[in-house]
Amino acid sequence: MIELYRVCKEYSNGQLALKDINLHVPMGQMVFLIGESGAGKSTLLKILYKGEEFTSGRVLIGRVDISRLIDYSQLRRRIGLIFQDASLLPHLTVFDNVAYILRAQGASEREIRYRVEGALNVVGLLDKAKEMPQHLSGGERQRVGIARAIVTNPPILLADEPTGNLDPVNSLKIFQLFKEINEKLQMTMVIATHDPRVHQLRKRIVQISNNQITMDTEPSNLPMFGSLVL
Amino acid sequence: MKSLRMLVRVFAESGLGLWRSGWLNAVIISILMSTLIVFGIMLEFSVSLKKIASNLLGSQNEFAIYLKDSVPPQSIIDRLKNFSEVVEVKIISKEDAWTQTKKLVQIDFDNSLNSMPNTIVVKVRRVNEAAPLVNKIKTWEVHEHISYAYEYIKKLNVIKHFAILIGSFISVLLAIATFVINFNTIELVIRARKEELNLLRFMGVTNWFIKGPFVVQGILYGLVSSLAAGSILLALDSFARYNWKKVIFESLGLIDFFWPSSEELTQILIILTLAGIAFSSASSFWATERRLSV
Repeated sequence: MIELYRVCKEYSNGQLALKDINLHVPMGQMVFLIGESGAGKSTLLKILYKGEEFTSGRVLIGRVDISRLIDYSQLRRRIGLIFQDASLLPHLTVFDNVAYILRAQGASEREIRYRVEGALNVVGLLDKAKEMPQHLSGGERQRVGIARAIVTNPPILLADEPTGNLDPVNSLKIFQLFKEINEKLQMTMVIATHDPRVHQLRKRIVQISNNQITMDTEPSNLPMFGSLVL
Repeated sequence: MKSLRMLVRVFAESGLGLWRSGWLNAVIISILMSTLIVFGIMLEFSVSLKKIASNLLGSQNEFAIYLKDSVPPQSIIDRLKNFSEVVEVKIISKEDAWTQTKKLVQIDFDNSLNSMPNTIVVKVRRVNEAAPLVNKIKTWEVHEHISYAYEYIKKLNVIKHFAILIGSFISVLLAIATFVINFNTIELVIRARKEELNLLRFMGVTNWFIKGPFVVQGILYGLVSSLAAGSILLALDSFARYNWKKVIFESLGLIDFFWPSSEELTQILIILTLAGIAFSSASSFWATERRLSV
């Protein structure tokens, strides 16, 4: 569970990034953060994985107050991260990119093979395991990024503009993949995007405008979009 | 088992890091190696200077009395034995001195030409006891000459201390240079991979798994550079030993007077290797501590 209570973020130059954010994301829920560029979506995500500090308020992840953490790696190991540009390590194959975190955690080679193949299978890239990232398309690279994020089976998945660099067709495929992962693996997901089509997924949508939450809509309140539902 | 596996992976990451650095490795190792070669040469030079001074200063608690022909050596020896500060008395007869001279100049002079005096070499317990005893013996008026170069020994002592001081200063300077070169190298590598390292941090990769490979990389730079520097020094020494030394020193009868021995050279190479590894690992550790906040 993710809980934010009156969270504010102000930069040293006085610029406000987030103002009085109250947000509760129950376990296993998928939430889309939408809003224009600079609204504060990415900042909110960064606060969750300790990529940035918040100025005031409280943030609890799994009932742990993250402002009291000393070793951030403990928190980060419970979170799978997906970035806009996939951020793959260019010198490693698809398999090794996904396996990296498992190797760093001391998993055995047997366990690594089992888990990596499983994750690549989920994203449909098992046949590309030996490829280098530069030989993949944008959509495929993002899928590898997703496989890397889920390979440790973390309870939380955070994605920051995961379709920002993709064409509409690939974007829809990625969103569909997120939905499948959420339903199959029951991961709590917070996805920041400015893609308006996320309404079609009938998941919770939180809108951020001018650094504040201006709308929080549960799936039951969302209008249907007929034939475009994925 | 898990710890060992992690350790092996840290080394594997270091290997990968070295491979990715490509030609930069050669540049870094060359710079470090050159610094260590200078360091090694300075060490050899310092050892040589100390050796010269020690060889010359080895006799500073000894002096020689060249007796008048009319004075029987035994009577002087008996008198000298009464002094508690005298620990050893050696006599070189005029015949022995003559034989040695003929051998040195390699000319077989007739013995009738022997003008060498009987010589008594006296060794005292402490250096400061030599000068007063020399003055006392001078009052006996049994000598043609007493050989004790007090001022010369004093100057040599100054040179010896100066050599040690200069050697230490240069060593510190080169140690700092080694440290700075390696520190900057590791810092450059960290900066070049900043985004990638940030990504690893956010993925929850542990502190030492990120920092470890850089420290190992620094140690490897130090090890390879110092071994290469040591090999080059050894080659230079062998070349000089079998060419210049033979020509210059052996012909002048100064064998091993100046040149560091094999044992001393081994010591220099060990110091060089240890210093290379120590400074490189310390600097890479410091660079990761300063530039990698995980």
